[in-house]
Amino acid sequence: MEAIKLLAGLGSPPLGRLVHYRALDTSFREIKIKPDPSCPLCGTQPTITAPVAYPEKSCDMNNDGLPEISTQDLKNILDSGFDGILLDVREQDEFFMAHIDGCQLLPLSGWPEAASNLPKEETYYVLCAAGMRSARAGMWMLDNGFEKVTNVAGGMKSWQQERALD
Amino acid sequence: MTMTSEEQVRYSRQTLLQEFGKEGQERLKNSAVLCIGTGGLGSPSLMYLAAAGVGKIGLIDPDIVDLSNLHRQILHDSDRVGTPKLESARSRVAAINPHVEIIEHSGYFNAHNCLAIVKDYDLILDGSDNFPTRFCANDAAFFLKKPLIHGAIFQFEGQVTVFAPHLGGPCYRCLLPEPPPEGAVPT
Repeated sequence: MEAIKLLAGLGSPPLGRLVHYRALDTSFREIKIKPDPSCPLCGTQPTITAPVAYPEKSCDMNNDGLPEISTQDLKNILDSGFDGILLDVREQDEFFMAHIDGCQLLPLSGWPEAASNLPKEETYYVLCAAGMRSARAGMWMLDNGFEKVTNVAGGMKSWQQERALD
Repeated sequence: MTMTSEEQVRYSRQTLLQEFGKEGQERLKNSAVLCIGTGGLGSPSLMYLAAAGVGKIGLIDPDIVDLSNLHRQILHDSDRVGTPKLESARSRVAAINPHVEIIEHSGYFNAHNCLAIVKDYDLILDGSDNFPTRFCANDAAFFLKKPLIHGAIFQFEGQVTVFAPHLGGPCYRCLLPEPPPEGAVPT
């Protein structure tokens, strides 16, 4: 419909408005997205001057030494009064879609700078969509002086599947 | 460009709409849309655009139809399992509306070919399932000043917006400056 509107010259396109639909409760929400002056492409001082080639994703991961728990175990820990930090390293738009109450959002795209202020003595459970990015974040934390770090295997995908069965 | 009497009847219910009219129909007929991906997002979009009478539709999808695609990628029929999506999409779009000119772009859409492909279209519809392609579509759309229709679905949720910095508003990189580091990401 948006394509037809633009091509035929009807109405107005949702520029700067991300319309989000949740089928399960039949609700619509609208997220405003402003042009970012520091955007590397359309900002005032762009650093990208031609389409960027990104490598295909690779699967070589080395998680040696990073403990893991299942999302079911995470649920049990949270229910029994967990006082550490549940760190969600997904991006903002993913977080908006769904997240676990009480978690702290710290998108991996902002690491390692974003993680530099985290208190090192805390207990962390690190979470992402499926457990890959959180494993990278967790490995970085172990390499940088954090000691109590656990990866949540399966991430939000597994968490949501389990909650759907509750 | 004049419409045949067959086309006049075919599109009569939408040309009746005051805002759309014959002028809207002519504009659609003179338009070219590039559809990146013919999957869950591309399927319904393509079918509606073809049925509505967009003049030229470009298709990109290097994948093969899989049985597990069929429940949502409604462009592809059961007898197409195991065959290239591009062929399947072409034959289905042609069956929906024989007036549509269909251009098949084989292979992947990437940083090397995106500008050359996008320049011949008025608008891009991003129905891709991976970040390299999505960023490529955004970059090419920005440099060539073409509106980019962005859609994404995840489980029971979906989102849509239009990125067109040349008309105002942000681009995809304003939302996500770079692809997330490698790893499994819902797309």
